[in-house]
Amino acid sequence: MGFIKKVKKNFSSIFKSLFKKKIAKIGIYGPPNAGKTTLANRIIRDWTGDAMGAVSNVPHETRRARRREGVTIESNGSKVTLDIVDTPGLATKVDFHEFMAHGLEEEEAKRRAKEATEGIIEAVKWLDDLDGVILVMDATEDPFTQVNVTVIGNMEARKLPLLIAANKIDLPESSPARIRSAFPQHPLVPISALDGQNIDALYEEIADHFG
Amino acid sequence: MPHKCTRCEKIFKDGAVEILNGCPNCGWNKFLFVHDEYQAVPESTIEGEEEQPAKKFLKEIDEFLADQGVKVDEVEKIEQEPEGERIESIRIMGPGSYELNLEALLERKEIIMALKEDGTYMVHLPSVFDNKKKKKK
Repeated sequence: MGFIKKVKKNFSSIFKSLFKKKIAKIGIYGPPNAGKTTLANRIIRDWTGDAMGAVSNVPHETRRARRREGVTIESNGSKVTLDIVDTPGLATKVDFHEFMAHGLEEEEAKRRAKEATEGIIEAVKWLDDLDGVILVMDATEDPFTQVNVTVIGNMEARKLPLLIAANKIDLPESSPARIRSAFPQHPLVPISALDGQNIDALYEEIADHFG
Repeated sequence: MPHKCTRCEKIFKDGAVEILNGCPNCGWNKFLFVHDEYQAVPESTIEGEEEQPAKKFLKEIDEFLADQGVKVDEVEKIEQEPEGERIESIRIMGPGSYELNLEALLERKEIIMALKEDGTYMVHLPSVFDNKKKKKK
């Protein structure tokens, strides 16, 4: 009897491994204007042909989390299906004066500030539902910020797999090495989400890491 | 989803008895599913119930501050307390001006709001009680 049970169990696990479809829910996080939506758009355009959302140089353009399901990425023979969540930029301060500096009217700036604040809370709450995180950082900026340190510390505590995308390497002042030395404990891929530089290396890492 | 009479185009809500008995307006008995305006949101945005209370809360506080005639400039002069001593997840400095304590937001389920620097705190009860009630989509 024991033998039959064992065979049955083995067979079912082989069957499962052959046909189980892996879906990982991945969140794209990072400070405002790091290029999260640009990256989400690129991933989704490269693998499905669609787009995710609007981008702009005014901070907090994305104020609601957006999700795209069933994006299959293939790299080096491994295949992974992802649900991708693009999130509003994490910040410690949202002030409507900042938006007014970008030419918005006061009313509009205040509305945007309120939406951005809600968006940050929403982005944080989404973390509970995720299997992994791509943290997008602007490689032209100092990586030692309160947002980056807090977010990385919290993801480590949650044991969420983390992949750092050091974005904006198309800009001459970018320095992915500075990010690498700041957070050496996590895999890092220098990319330009805007022009697609090194994006294949990111897909390889995604397939490896979240597959 | 609501139903529309295919002859007179009168709309009935989902499950209405008129759909079974025939349209009371014209007597026709063929109906078509129609999208109502509430469902016409783009699929890419995630509509959850959980952020609604936060939205309402922020709105109420904004209105309250506006009533009290609080000016953001006055608030900005006050000195900051060190990060570690802050218990609130959001501090509302004035209409359109917010400070977020990411550490508290990331580590705690509940949302605590602080008003300016005057020691007034509000605990957002739905977020305290809600926890795992959230539906998985």
